[in-house]
Amino acid sequence: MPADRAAHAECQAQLLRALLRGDGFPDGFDARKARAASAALLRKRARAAARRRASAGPVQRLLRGAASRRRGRARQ
Amino acid sequence: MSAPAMRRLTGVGLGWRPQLQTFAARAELGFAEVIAESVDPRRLPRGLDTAWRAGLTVIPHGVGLSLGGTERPHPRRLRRLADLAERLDAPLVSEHIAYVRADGLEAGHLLPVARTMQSLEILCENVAEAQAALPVALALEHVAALVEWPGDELDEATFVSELVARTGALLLLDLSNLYANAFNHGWDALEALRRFPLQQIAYVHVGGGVHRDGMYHDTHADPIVPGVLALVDELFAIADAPGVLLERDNNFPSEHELAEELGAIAAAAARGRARRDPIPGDAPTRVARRRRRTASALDHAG
Repeated sequence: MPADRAAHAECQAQLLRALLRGDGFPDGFDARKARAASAALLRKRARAAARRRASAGPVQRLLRGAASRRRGRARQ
Repeated sequence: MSAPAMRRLTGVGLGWRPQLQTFAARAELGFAEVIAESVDPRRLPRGLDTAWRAGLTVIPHGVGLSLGGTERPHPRRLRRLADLAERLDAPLVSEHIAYVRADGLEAGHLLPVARTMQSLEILCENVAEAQAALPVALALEHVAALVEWPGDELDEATFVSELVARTGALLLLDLSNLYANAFNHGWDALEALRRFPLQQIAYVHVGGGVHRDGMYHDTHADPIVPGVLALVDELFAIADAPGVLLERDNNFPSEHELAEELGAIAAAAARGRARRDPIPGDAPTRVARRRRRTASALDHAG
């Protein structure tokens, strides 16, 4: 990656890491707005994680069911 | 530069979500949009496939290319977007002027890019790469952001205009994002709206939000606020704008409420159109009165 892109990448990564942490925002950012942005981002990530868990539920149940049937057959 | 010839999107559209598929099948939508990363081009969700087979135009809307990021758009992501466009016979695809990952971290959210010349150059390179890989036109959407980068060199309308002019991309104008940024950063929304490249609009987004703690949050989980409808009205008054699509991602309303919201969008567009083509003789008073109403709705929002 060229030097200017690398420096730019580091700036973007710093902001993202701060938003995920909820503090330590890079100099020059409005702290109140940055905290609000961080809270919104974390809420969105939590909702996405909950949706993933919910949608994975039936699959996991199927897999657990199949494993249980295999164990049952093995015992017979 | 004028927009390339393609099927024009008209009327009021809806972001297709599994929770809205029953409504979407019954409503007379002008068009729809689907989050590209949420569907497999080889196995469309049945409700979406049925609506598409019935003639609904569906636009793939990407959220994962990270065109504003410093990494090049991933070929696998581009291939998937291209495959979906082909599967849906879509006239275009859309993505965001944003980054969603950096240094191996996924944000799970659209983050704003710095509005600098360097950032613009990176975006132009990434957009050019995406355009080369896509079989249809690409429309770019500016995002709502609570934070602004220190040292921004350009305002949003100028930045977007420059990006669109340099790449030949179309504009996905999001009036809720414009409203949010204007409210949160103290811009004049009407003045900014007039400086966007309105002749390049592929379609328009609106979504709901909420005023909280002195800020406006573009939640896509609340009703549309009057200030956003005022921008719809104003847009159609100053430009021959294409269709407007409602995005709703959470806290899904009843079908009745959703229909009312779509109706309110259509009514705002119709009011604006009427201002653009006023009845001869009645025009000056009516135009002035409605312009004052638009400004008033924006002033008193919140």
